[in-house]
Amino acid sequence: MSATEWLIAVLAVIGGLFSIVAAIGLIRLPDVYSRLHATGKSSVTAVVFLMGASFIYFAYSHGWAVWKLLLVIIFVALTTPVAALMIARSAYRTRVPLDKRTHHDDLESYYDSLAREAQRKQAAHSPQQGKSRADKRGTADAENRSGRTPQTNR
Amino acid sequence: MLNTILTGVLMMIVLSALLCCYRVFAGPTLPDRVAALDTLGMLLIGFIGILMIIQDTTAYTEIILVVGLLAFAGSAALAIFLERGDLFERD
Repeated sequence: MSATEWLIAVLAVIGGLFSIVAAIGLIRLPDVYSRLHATGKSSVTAVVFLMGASFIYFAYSHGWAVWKLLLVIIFVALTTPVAALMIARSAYRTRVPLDKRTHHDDLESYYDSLAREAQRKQAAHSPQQGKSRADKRGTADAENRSGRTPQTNR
Repeated sequence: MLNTILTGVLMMIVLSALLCCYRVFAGPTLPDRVAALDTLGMLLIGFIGILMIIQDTTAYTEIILVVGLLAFAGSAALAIFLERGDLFERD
């Protein structure tokens, strides 16, 4: 094996190790948010190393570079953190519980104050009008959409 | 030699995909399953990348792009669906 093939092998093994780290984090960590912390970074790193190995292999053995593989690296590195953020935000807004060992939740007071504010303004301004839609869609949903009503100013 | 190492890497990726499948089936909440499916898409991208080296072909690059796109779109759509209850506004 030449030095370039060793480089390819090392990159591929590092990528495989990072994928195993992502899977072990997904299995072992206690709640959704820490699991997203494990997978959101490790899977991107695994894909970057594996695609780098593939790119180097084709540039070395065929003599022409497959630029689509670098495009995949850029695309994955851009989109996976966004997907992890959206999953974590939807989990928090649908009140998926945190682990019992969590001792600090900065967003809790913020969301509680938002819910109380929306409830107070709804009760003060339109006692019979805004009730049907809010009851139909649930409390978490009413918070999310409260920016659309003209009374609240989020 | 290189083929042996790459086959070992494929086995590592398959092992982690099996662990992700455990989380998909046994996940206590729905966002757990969505996160596991997102990770499964990323692992599938890496798997096809290594398979391209082993089979010595560049025919799968478009498949990698499409799988990445679909993994992101699926995760985003599922997250929005879990958050709001519907994907498109019908007011």
